[in-house]
Amino acid sequence: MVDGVSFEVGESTTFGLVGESGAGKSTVGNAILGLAPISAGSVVFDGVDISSFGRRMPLWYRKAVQVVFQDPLASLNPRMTVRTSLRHVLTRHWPSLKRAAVDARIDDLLDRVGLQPHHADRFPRQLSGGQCQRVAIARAIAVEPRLIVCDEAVSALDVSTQAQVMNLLAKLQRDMGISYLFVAHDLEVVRHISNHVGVMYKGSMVESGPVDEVYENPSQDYTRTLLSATLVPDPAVQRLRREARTGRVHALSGTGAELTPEL
Amino acid sequence: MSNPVRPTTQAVDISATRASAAPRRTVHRILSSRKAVISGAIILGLIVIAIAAPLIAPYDPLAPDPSNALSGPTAAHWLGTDDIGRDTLSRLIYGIRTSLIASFEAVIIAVVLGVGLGLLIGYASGLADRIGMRVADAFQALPPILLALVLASVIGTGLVNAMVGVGIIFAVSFFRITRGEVLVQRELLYVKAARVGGFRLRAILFREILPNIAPTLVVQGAIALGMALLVEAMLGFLGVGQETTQVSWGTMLNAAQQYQLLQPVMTIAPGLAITAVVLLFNLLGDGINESIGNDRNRSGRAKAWFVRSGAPSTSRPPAVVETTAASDPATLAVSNLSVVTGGEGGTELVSAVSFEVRRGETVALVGESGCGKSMTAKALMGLLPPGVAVSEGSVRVGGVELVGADSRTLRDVRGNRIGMIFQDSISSLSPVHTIGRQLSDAVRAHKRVSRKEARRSAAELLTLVGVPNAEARLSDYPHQFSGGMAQRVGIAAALAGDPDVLIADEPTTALDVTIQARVLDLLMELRDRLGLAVVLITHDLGVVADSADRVAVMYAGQVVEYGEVGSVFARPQHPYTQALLDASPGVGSRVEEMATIPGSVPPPWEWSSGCRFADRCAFASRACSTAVPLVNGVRCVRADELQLRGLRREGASSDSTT
Ligand SMILES: Nc1ncnc2c1ncn2[C@@H]1O[C@H](COP(=O)(O)OP(=O)(O)O)[C@@H](O)[C@H]1O
Ligand code: SF4
Ligand SMILES: [Mg+2]
Repeated sequence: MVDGVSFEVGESTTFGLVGESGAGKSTVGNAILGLAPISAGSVVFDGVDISSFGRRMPLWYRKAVQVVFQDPLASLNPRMTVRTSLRHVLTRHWPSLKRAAVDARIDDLLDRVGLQPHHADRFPRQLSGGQCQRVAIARAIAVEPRLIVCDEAVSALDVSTQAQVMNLLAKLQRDMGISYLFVAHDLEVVRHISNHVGVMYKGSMVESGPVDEVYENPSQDYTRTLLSATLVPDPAVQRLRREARTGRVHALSGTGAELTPEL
Repeated sequence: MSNPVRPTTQAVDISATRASAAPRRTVHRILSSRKAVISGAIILGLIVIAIAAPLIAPYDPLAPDPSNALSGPTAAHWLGTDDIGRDTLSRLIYGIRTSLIASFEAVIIAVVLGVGLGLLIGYASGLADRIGMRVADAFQALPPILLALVLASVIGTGLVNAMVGVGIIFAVSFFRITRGEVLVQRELLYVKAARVGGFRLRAILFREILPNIAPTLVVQGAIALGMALLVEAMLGFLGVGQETTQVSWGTMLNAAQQYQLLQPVMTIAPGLAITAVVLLFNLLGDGINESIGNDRNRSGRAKAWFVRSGAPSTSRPPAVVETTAASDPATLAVSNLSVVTGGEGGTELVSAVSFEVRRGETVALVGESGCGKSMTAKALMGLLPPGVAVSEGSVRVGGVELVGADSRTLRDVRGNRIGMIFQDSISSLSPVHTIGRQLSDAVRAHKRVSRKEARRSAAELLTLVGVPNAEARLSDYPHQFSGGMAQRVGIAAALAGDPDVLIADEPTTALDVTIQARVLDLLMELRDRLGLAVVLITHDLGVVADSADRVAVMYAGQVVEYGEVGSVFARPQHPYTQALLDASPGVGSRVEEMATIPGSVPPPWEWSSGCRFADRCAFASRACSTAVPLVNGVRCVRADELQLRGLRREGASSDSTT
């Protein structure tokens, strides 16, 4: 489904991956997470090729690479409280941890992601979307990972919550030196959070580079199309973009918005 | 394979749980089903009777009393006696024991085997799954009785052995069900997260997945118990596997055969007992199923939605925003619309919302989720969920009042004057009929035309919304359209009644940027071409900036700012509008820290009588605790003194479009 995609995520940096759905962004993320098979090429983490692991990822890799998904509610087990979910992760990676120590870690994790200790005993359904996403982030950082794949991690959130979660991710990066592979379809979000960006189209990466370079001087038509389709809350800018894109959309597909004169 | 954006609203709707009350867990839900509780209680009673049989039964069930053979009901023998004078009531009571033990034996074997294998094979999938399903198919073809007979002859007779056979057969259906559920769960994000967490297989299967599929299995278990009981009775009747020391309802029936005419009670008693207990188990399963099903449906779309019939309440005089254009059919005028849940004195979900949309105009409703945007839209359509109603205000379409209108008027308006599209409009179409059929039905409901003409109109509709190859695609089913095309079909369906007003609730939220832009372009072209009045609901200020003429910013059920998009964004007067602008990525330079709004939208029952935004507002002062009216399109007591910055232009570089 995806081929010829090459990029590097440096230590404590963020690589953004943009493109339309079906372009293969999540497939790349899943390959890194061992949730999708890699047919050719390699994912090298800290000098180790992960395809050499076989079917089961070793525990150290699970500890090093974590994920935050798009749908915060669905990514938590509906039948477990926040505490139970976090405890399972902690005891899996630190089996000898005593109960009290686990609880202390859980309080600390919740605090880091901006939740209160009493949230530990809530079920996912009792939390808002933003709070669920914070729990998912807490679960990801619980293992002290080096890389987190954020697969549309802020896409389902309201603007204000989205901003809160993006700030949280930035803070965790500063504090813990985590790298992110930030998959998103929203170009402005990616621009805000990433150092480097890759543009995917139909399974390949058509353009990549430092964020400002790609956004200011896109070298590919497709990147330009994406940029002109991105909506910003500025009516003046949007008027220009609308003009730019209606011309371009027609040119690209021909089926964009042809109308018959009468119903 | 990247996921489309999910809905922001419904998925995280915490209103159902009210503050911090414990969530309604499965057990609670089942306990609230009368069917399940009553049948469950009776079954428990039967178990007690089975255990206490020696204490309860008036006679030894095996002791013959030839002098009293074939007696009818008497004071000594309430249900009479059998051919050798054994007390029927006592035999019935002891029979419960045999029946229950046998059924539980079979079902426990079935659950352990079936669920265990189902979990493993469903999760492993691939080759194991294919083999598993073949074997299951083969087993499924055998009737349980037959296998029980065969098994009994192989591993020896006796009820225990026979029921092992029944258990194995039943295991097959548990296997199928479990496997099916696991295939679904396996793809859910929480299971993926568990894999990334490095959990062991055992933990993923039993700790993560099993509790989530347990409710379905419990239902199946209850039904299987009834079926096993029936099989046991049949075996007894056939005289297989029973020892003489066991009393079974089936054997009782068998014995009764010859004396049916002489002593009908002998047949009726065990017959009724078998029927009743099988029914009880089915009822239990049914009750549990319904109580679980209710919960699942809750997230789906409610079926009956009506604006409360009868006159609107007159406690507040209906707003008098008569407009010059009020009689233009394409004018939607909403004034002082309030929506409540929970009847009189209930919670307000939408408070005194007013706005107006004319032909060829787009008015956006924008705000975070839970601010009442969708509820407003549903009120406009007369499609409120059960228990929710318009409490006051007025909604007029081309001068026709909808609040308090009779259901015929409403239906008429809904079909012909107002159309609505949703985030996933296509899911409001029936999955079992073709698009062509559904579109032409919609056209015919609106216009008296022949089938053929209706079909041609349907094709025109599809062409109108930019579905290529429209004629051919009429014979496709809804699921054959994806993403942007599906949304176009949804729009076509909304347009089938040739409406004047189009309400679009988050129409592009689930779409990719490029497709979002195309769908918005389509909507705006249709608006211009057909002269529609469009209400565009969104949480994305970018969508507003792109497509709307005017905007109503909603917060906690109220409009807090209303005006032309350009001026509202350039010079917002309400702190909430400013906060939304600040929190939107892509405005302003790339500062390290994004501006956020502390906290979140309060739930309706916590809305204060003063400014509802006060808790999160950077400018809140004492004056803000009194009720704030909407003055000149702004609902803020400090609107005049605050000099809000508006859009930070310098960062919103327009050169990226070139
Ligand atoms: N069926 C219902 N009964 C009672 N309250 C509801 C129902 N559905 C939604 N609500 C509540 O109504 C409020 C407004 O919701 P909604 O209109 O969906 O907001 P928005 O569309 O702006 O996100 C929310 O607080 C929500 O929890
Ligand atoms: S009324 Fe007061 S609290 Fe409300 S928005 Fe205005 S300044 Fe803020
Ligand atoms: Mg909504």
